[in-house]
Formats: sequence, C-alpha cells, structure tokens
Amino acid sequence: MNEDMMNIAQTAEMPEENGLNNAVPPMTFKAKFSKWWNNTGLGWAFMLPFIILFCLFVALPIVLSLRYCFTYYNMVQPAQFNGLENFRYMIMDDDVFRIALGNTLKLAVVIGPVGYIASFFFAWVINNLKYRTFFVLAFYTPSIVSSVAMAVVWKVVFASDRYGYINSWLLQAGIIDEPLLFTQDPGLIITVVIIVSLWMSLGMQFLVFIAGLQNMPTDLYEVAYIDGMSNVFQELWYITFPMMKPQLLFGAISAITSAFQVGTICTDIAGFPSPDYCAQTLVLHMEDYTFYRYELGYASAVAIVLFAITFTLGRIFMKVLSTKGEY
Amino acid sequence: MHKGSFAIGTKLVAVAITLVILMSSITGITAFAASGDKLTDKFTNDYSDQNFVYDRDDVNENRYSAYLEENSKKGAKDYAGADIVLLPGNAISRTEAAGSTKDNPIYKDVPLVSGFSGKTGTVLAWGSEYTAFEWVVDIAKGGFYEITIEYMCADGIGISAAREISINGEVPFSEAVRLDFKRWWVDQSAPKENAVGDQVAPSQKEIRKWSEAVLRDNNGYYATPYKFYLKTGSNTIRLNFADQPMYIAKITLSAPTTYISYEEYSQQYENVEMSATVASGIADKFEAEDILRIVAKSTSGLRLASSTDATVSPRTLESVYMNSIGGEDTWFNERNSIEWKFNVEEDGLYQISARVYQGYTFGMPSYRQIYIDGEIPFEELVAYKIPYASSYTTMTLSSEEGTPYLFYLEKGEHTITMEVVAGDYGQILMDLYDESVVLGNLLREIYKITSENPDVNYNYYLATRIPHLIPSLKALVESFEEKIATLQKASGEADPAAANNFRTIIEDLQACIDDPFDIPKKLGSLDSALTSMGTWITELATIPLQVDTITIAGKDAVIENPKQTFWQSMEYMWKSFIVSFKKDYSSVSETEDEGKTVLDLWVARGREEAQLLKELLDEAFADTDIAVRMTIVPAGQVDMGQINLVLLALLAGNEPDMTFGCNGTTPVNFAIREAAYNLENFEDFEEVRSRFLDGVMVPFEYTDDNISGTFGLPEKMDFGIMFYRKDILSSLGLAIPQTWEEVYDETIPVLYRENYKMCPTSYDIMLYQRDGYYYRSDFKLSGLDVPDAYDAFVEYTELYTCYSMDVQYEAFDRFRRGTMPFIFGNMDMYIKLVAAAPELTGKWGIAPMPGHLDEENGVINRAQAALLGSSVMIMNSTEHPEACWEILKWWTSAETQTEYGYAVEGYFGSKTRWSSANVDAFMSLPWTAEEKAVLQTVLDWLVQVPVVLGDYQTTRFVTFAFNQVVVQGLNTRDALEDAVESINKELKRKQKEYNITPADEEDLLNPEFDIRPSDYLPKYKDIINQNKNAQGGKS
Repeated sequence: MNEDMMNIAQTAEMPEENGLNNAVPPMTFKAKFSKWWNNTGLGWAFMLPFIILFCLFVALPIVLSLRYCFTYYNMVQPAQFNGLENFRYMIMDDDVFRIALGNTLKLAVVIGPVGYIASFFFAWVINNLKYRTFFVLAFYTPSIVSSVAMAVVWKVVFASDRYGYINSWLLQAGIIDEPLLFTQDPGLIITVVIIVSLWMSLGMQFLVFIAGLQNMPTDLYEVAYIDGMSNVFQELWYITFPMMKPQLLFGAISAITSAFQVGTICTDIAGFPSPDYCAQTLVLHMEDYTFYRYELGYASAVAIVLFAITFTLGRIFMKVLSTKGEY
Repeated sequence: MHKGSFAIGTKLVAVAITLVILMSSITGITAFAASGDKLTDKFTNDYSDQNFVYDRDDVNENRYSAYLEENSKKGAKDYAGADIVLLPGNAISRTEAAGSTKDNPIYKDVPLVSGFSGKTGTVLAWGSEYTAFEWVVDIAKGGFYEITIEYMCADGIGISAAREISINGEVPFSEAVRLDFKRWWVDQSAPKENAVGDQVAPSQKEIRKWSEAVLRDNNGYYATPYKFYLKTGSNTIRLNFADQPMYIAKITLSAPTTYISYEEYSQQYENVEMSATVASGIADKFEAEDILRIVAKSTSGLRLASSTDATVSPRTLESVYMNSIGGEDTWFNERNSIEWKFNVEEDGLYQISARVYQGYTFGMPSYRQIYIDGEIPFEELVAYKIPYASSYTTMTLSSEEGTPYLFYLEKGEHTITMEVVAGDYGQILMDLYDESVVLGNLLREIYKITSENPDVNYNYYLATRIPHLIPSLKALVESFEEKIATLQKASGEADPAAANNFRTIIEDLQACIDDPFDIPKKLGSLDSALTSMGTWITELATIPLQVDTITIAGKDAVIENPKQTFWQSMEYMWKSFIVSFKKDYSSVSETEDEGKTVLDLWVARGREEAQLLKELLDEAFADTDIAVRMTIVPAGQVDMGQINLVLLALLAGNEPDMTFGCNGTTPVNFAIREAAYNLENFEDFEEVRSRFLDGVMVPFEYTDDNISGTFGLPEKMDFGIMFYRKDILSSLGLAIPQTWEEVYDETIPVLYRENYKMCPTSYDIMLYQRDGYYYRSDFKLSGLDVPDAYDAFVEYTELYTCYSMDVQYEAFDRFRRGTMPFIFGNMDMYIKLVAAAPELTGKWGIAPMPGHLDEENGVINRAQAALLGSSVMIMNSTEHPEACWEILKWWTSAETQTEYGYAVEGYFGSKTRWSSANVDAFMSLPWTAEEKAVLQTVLDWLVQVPVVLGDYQTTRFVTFAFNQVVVQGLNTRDALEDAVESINKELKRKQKEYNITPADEEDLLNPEFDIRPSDYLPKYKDIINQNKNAQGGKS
C-alpha cells in the first residue's frame, strides 16, 4: 500500500516539473552547479571525510590483500606471484586452518546470536529501570577497557591454581578436589574463551539498542494500549521490534563482525599458541603467519577467506532485517 | 481412595528410611570425629615447654640494641677520657700469605704507604687482597667507646667500601658485619640540555678526600653512633675486608658523643649581638641543586631532579629544568647525605630554612640528621622530623612547638649536611624484620600439617598441634598495635598510611586467634600478610625528601612560605600538554656534526638507559668521524613474533643502520630474509667473538644453502640458576642437590614429607644434559626422534606426573613464603629477590642447576639452554658497515660494558643489573665471591638453542606434547612422535620456501648428530676427548 502511494505522489509531481523546464531557457553553468551542489554535491561533501578514510583504511587494504593472496610475500623481499598455491595449501595441507575455521565458526555461532539476544534483553530490561545511566555505564565499560586488562580480571576468575575464584569456590564446596586447569586443558579453554568474549561483546550492541529504545515514541504505545494491547510482551513484539529494525540490523552486523574477530582474548587466556591449537581462530592464524612465519601472502589468503565469510553473512542479515523504509 | 492411602503409606516408609539412614550417617560422622580426636592426640608435636611463645626477640638476639642492653646490665659505663689513637704502623696483618699452614701461619706484610695524599705519616693501603688487620690496644678503664676511622676510598667500583669489625675475636653484634665507608660524589658539570631542550641530570664524578667515619648503623635505624664495649686490659680490634679497597690513616677510640639539648645550646649564645639589618635580613639563599654549592654527596645516585611545582625556582614549564635535588628513588635511604656550603657576613644567630617537598606517603614524616660544619650542634637535630606536606613547604628548622632554632655562626664559610636517618621508623623496621621471620616460621609449621592445599572443612587441630601458635599470634597482634601507636604519635595523624596496613594484618591475625578452625581458610590472607610485611619494610625504609632552596636568615627575619595556586598548576599542565605535541620524545639526540658519518641507531630500551648509553657513546666517539643519531623504540617492538618496528621500517625503506636491544632470534631471522649484515665480513671479527661464550653465540650463527655467517652479537645474557632457602635447608638438614638423581632420591622425599614442594624445570635441561640437541643433520631435521630425547621427555613429564609438581605456580611468592625452598629462576628472579624481598636478606643463596652424571666421563653434565638475552645487529642496507662495526666493537668491549653496567646500577639502584653477555664484564659486576663461583660454573655450561627456519614449530609442538601428556594424560611416546612429525613437516616446508635442499630420506631414518651441545662447551669437550684418548690408548 505504501508503494502505491509513493508512485501516485511521484506521478503527480512529474508533469509540474516538466512544465517548468519547458518554460525556462537552458541554465547557466553556475546555476547548474548550484543546483547540483544543493541536490547532491553537499551530501557528497559531508560524506567525503568518511569516504576517504574508508577507502584508505578499509577498501585499500582489502584490495591489497586480494592482490597479495596470490603471491608469496615475506615482507622483506618483493612479492612473487604463485597462483592458487596459498589456497591449495590452505585447503589441502594446513591442518591448523581447519581447526581455526572450526573454532571461529563455533565462537561465531555461540557469541553472535547469544550476545545479540543478551544485549537486547539487557538493554530492554535496563531501559525500564530507574538509574538507567548508571547501569548503561556499567554495561558499556567492558567494551571500552582493553582486552588485555579484561583478560587480567578474568584470569583471576579462571586461574588454574587453587586461588582462582572459580576453583576456590568449587574446592570449598567440595565439588572438585584438584583445581581445574582452565587455561591449559584444551577441553575447557574454548568454554572460557566463549564466556569472556560474550561478556566483552555485550557493550557495543547494548549501547545501540539502548539508543534505539530511548528514541521510541511513547505515543505509539499509548495508541496501541487504547487499541487494546494488554501486556509488555505485545508491546515488545508489535511495536518495539518493528520500530527498532535499523538498530537491530546494525547490532546484527556488528555481532557477526565481532564474533569473527575473536582472537586476542584467546591469546590472553590460553597463550599463543594455545595447547594443540584448541583456541586458534582465523584472526590468530593470520597473525601467526604474519609475525612468526613471515608468510604474508598466505596470511592475506586467510584474511580474504575471513572477509568473504563475514561479508556473506552480513549480506544475508541485511536481506533478512532490511528496512527499506518500511515500518 | 484405597490407592491413594497406599501411596501415602509408601511415602511415609520412604521418609522413615531416609531419616534412619541420615541419622546413622550423622552418628557415624560423630563417631569418626571422636576417634579423630584421639588420632590427632597421637600426632601432636612434642613441645616440652607448653608456655613457649615465638617472640621476635628470639629471632635476632644479636642486634645492637640487645648488645647495648646486655653490657649496660653488666655495669658498663661510657668512657670519658682522652682519645686513644691506633695508627697504621701498629697494625698486625692477618692475611695469610702463600705457603701458610694452620699450625704455622705466615702473614703478608702490612701494606704501608708514606706521604700519601697530604698525610705526613704512613697510611694503610688496604686492597682487596688483604682480608684482615688487627690492632692491640691497652684500655685503662673498660667501658663503651666510640670508634672513628679516618679513611679515603681507593680505586674500585662506585659503591661504598665496607669492613667488618670484631673485638677480641668476635663480632659484637649482627650489624657490625658490614660497616660502610662512603665514597663522595659531585656533579661533573651543570645540567646540559638534550635534543628536545630538556635539561638532563649531569653525570657524577667521584672526589677523593680524607674523611672521618664514626662506626654507626648503615641504614640509620640507630641515629647515634655505635658504642663498642672494650674491657679493661688488652683488647684486640680487628677489621675484616667486606667490600672495596680503601686507605686508612688512623683509628680513634673516643668517649661516646653526647649531645646537648637546644636549651643548653641557646643559653651559650644568649648575649650575642648582631646588627639590625643582618638580624632581619637574608644572609644567604641558594638553590639546593646549584652544583657550585654542593660540597659532596654520598652516592652517585643522588641526582638533580626536576619538580613541576610553581613555587620551585627556577620554574619548569615548557622544558624540564633541573630545579631541585633528591626526591623519590634518589634520596631516601642508607644514610645518604648532601653537604652544601654557604656564607654569612657577620657573626650572629641565624635561622636555617629549606624549601622541601615531603608529600610521598600520606601522614608519614621523613627524618634527617643535620650537621653544621660537620657537627651535630644539639640533640634535636640527631633525627630531625620533617612532617608530611602535600606540596612544597618552607621548612625552618624549629622546635616541635614551632619556635625556630637559632644557630650561632661566625663570619665566613660554613657547611650544612643533611643525612637520611630512619628516626621513629628504625625500631619499627627492625621489629618488622624479626616479626616477618616469626610469621614465616609459623606459616611453615602450619603448612607442614595442612599442606599447601588444605581441606578447609577438616579440623587440623592446629591450636593443639602447634601449642605456641595462638600465643605467638597474640604477641604479633600486640606488637602491631604498638607500631600503630608509634606511627600515630610520630605523624600526629590518626590514620597515617602505614597504620592502615597494620590494621589489616591485625584483623587477619585476630580472626585466626578467634577461630583456629578457620586458619586453613585464612592461609591465603596470612601469606599475603607476610608478603605485605616485606613490602612495608621497603616502604617504611624509603624516606624521600626533595630540596629546592636553602635560606640562611637572620634571627628576626621572616621567611616566605609561598603556596602553589590552582591556576599555577593548571598553567603547568596546559603548557606541558601543548609542548607534548612539539617534542619528539623518541629521539635522544640531534646530531649536527657536519662532515661526519651519521649512523641511525635504534635502541629498544627505557629512556634513562638510552640516555646513559648515549652519554657514553658521545664521549667515546667525540674525536672520531662517526656520529650517532639515536632513537628509542619501545622494548619488545624489535623482537620477532611482535609487530616489529624494524620490519615495518624495512618495508617502508627507512630502516636504521643498526639496532640495539632486539631479542636473540631477531638477527638470524632477519639474515634469512637478507636484512642483517654478516659480521664475519670484518677482519677482526674473531677477536670480538671471543668476548662471548661459544654457547651464547649459537643463535647468531646460521648456515644454509644460500647464506652463512654470524649476523648479530649478544648484548645481555640470561640463564637459569637455582635459588635455595638457607634457613629451611638447614632446618631440614638438606644439602644442595648436585644432580637430578639426588633431587629424586634425597631432596624430594624430605621436602614432600614436610609438605614442601619442589620446583619443576624445562625440557632443555633434560635434553642437553643427555647431550641431545633439538636439531640434527645440518639442522634440517628435528633431533627429538632419538632414544635420548625420548628419555629426556619422559623424565621431564614425570616431574609432573610422578612427582606431581605444579604446572602453574608463582615461584617468587612460594619461595618467599618458604613453601618451595628451591626454585629455578633467572637474573630477573635474582634482582627481584634482592630488591623486593628485604626480609629474606641473607637467607637465600644461589647454586648451579642440578645436572646429570655423565658416568662415562665422570663429570656432572650441567648443560642448559641459555635464555634469550638481548642482541645487537647491523642492517644489511647500511651504507657504513665499517662505522657500525666500530660502534659494535666499542659497545661490546669489556670496558664499555662494565662502565655501562655500573652506570645503570648507579642510576636505578639494586633494582636492576646489566647482565652483560661480555664474560669479563659480567664477572666484574659486584657479585660476592660465593656468587662468582656459582656463576662461573653456570657459564661453563651454557648452550643456546640455534635459530633454524621454522624453529617456532619446535617450541610449539614440544609444549603441545607436554600438555598432552601432563594435562590430558595421553601416551608419552605418541605425543613426542607426533610432535617430531609436525616439526619435520614444517621444517621441510620452510626449507622449500627458501630453496634449501631438504634432508635426505636416509638421514630421516639414520639419526646422526653433527653438532651436539658438548661441541659448544670447551671444558666438557676437553674432558670427553681426554677420556677417549685414554681409552684409545688402553685398547
């Protein structure tokens, strides 16, 4: 119905404009420019700083690594073209790549959705609380603090000796009699990584959701209640969700990217490399090949794969949650 | 209906049964507990004296205070007669010469020099080769004497000379084992400006002068000099060498100094007249940092400082000015003193005041002993209290009530000296030392019973099994309460910083006293109490003071006391913020020398260290045509496996000519990628190489199909040493284990029986001590596929699986606590123990790591992989390799390394030590003779791990294999073999990458080693060869 209305509006405008054009003689360059400037140029001017930075720091590196992923490059000597060798090695020979890909997906599957839902849930709950600002600050802090500082905090909680909080509680309660090696046992490391990264990923999305919730027009709710809405869940489902689609989309995209970029946390918790590469992720794999093995060509190939995955998933979410001006 | 009641019936029965079971289990538990009582009775430690309380007085009964008390009780009085002088000419040498035997001792001659440095008589030139001298003196009247020695330090390293004194064959009290004789220092020049326009503290110059040192406490815990008891009749006074050579002109025995009170002092000068203008004017006012006013400082560490306070003159705003002296980390301990000179124009009474900053620890006063013209004028200045103030304050020497002291000064030049003393902290500090020992002993007794991982729900009956536990804890609580009272009185505050610390510990101790059952739960907090006691010792003993100006004013003058306003401090902050955008802090020097070869040098080191290096460099290369532009890069950013700044610079094409401070693996890794210069190209390379150990050069040498050479030089070296607790070893009757066999058979059983733990070690040790190596066949294959390597791996993992050593542990904490009486650590651990564990002073020692007995050759193989130190390299792209080489040669030479080592230690104090890779320089650092012997043994057995293409795989997969065996409990052989396979795969891949012919299939099956660790150990190699020859001769 909306689209129809817009079409009508457009067709209604058209003839009027045509009429104007016919009546006035061809415009001077100055007039043309000022019209272009007013219509589009000004917009571009506002976009320019972003476009420059985006090209310089996002687009250019992607293009460069697209080039390097088909070469052998060790940083010191010039790059040599070697075709699909990097991808061959990645798929056929590199066992660690498979572990890293598996781990990354595992982390993404858990951290992405769980973190997404949790941050929306917390945002919604806190939005309804008194002293909102305080809670917002408390929730947002972890994501500003550097991951190293966080790892220090969590390391105390998950310390492998009997002084670690969790070990100490479990020992006192008599559940275990030997401390659990949270940071050495390959079976436990990934769980610890998930918990810590979940906690850290909350902040950013949470802030976006809070912003969305605070911009919600209250009159909509009033209208809905007059129309017979009976509880908060209906409120959430029929009004809040649809109204928040842009924030939800942004949250989803950032959830995906952050979930695929888990890396430093693993190093901080389990060291590098983690025992049996059990906490190796694609980002770490990339770093390994860059700074330890000096094979930048291969690292670029890994980066491209990571980029492809994130990009595809991002597109899918865009499709699913896309707003297209519809409310 | 029927069905329902039946169901209820079954439920009732079930409940009844459960109840019965529960009841019986409870009675069972109580019965068990009752029998447990008897068991614990059976195992109660046998303490015959049930009233025994651990007291700090038992810990150190040899303190000076006890000595004084004991002799006073015997009726000893202060001597009151004329001075008795002992001259060098009467000294008796007690240094045994060559050929001396026990029954027929021969002594060296007394080394006398006449007419030395302005002395008419002979003086004793006491070098380090003389161990002791004695004087015999007849005392007419026994009693307490003060001993003063007129001395001058001789050439040596920049620390104080020290001697031990013994009287009539015994050291009178424990503090007398080391009596310091200060060296004197002045600043070499006025402060100079560095490249960014900031002033830098000038370097220090030692001045030699005759000075009189009265024997007294080195730390100023006792503010007044020691009184030695000499008996009536003949006494033997003996001085033993402790540190540094010095000359002695005479020794004076005199009546103990008595101090008059200020009241008496002022009465003497009541009628002094002075002109009104002088009386109300300023007689002399000078900057304390003025090097022309400073007569002498007692340590080279006492440097000029910069203070940002607006009232400090000259004010520092955009650029840093050296506008004060002393302060944190420079003037805080060991009776360090500064002597200034000043002038007055007229005889009269003067006030003395100083602008000082003493805002370091909340509420805590600082103490200084104050001398005018070398004498303490009255009692109140023996330990003058400078109260806490949060900003710069004018401190006029005055009584507690605030009346300024008036000093009588004659017309002319005078000096004023301020010297650190501990004041009220002295007693607290000594008590803390002793009490930390008490608490440490108690904790160890508890751990013996509970082990380090106690079951918190089990009643250990600690109070009955250690009868003196509760009384001792109570004694500790009382003593801490006393300390709080002392501190409150001293500071005039209800809550001075340290008092709160003591309250926390009282709470913890009180909780243990109240409920001994909970002690196992509280062990953590008791441990941390012990640790914090060590910290407080360091903190309380740190009494800094910073001085801006000193004013001598007439008796009626009013001295200003300006305060910094808020806006002034804002101004500073704003200006320095603005300036921070302009200054390039990474550059240490801006070289303007024209026509010189300018080299870019990147140094990954702290700013101060880089500055010291730069000073030395400039001095050494001033007259050559080489100039250096030095840039600081953050430490770690020139290492492999990091975001490597040099590598990024290489990419961008603006790399330096050479780099200092990269880690050991960097040079070869760069060389493989054609980025490091081959040092073997230089003619005199061999001569330079011989400065280092063969084993330490290993990671800098590399050969493959494409390149071959040595690509870097070590700068610093590091290695493992064993630290042991002397006190615990002697209480357990344990010897220091020499081999791992001894560790397993003798040390571990004793330790584990008493609930102590043993410290694990690394795989390198096990492998190297079997003469196994990580790589074989031209370093192209992993060397871990041989039986020796497997045995080593088994032994290594069994440390954890059989001897249940901890995978994760805090070595320093556990060593300090005493629960791990042996630990393996490196140089950092050594420094940490020296600097951060004052309560352990003298209680620990170092020994070489245990080895494996090589039965064939009859030696203990103590080989170990040296840890990565730091290194220097020349970049391949440099245009001036020869000039770079000159600098490397200079830098790695023994002289430069020694000089730098001492400069660093002088600057940072005992918190750091430059463990130079140059062997001569390393051995000339201030080690004790005992340490030297140990370190020599360690150095004889050092072999580094070579840098090989793809070597990271070895480290990783050995760790993985270890983890699989120890944590996951997998099969040892499988784990190691998997690791070898992965390592070889990566080595091969990397070899292919760099077009190196990989190892033959044959080599893979035929484990042959062309190089083993023993090849880098010349001494060991000699023994092996001799043995071979001997066997060859026989057959």
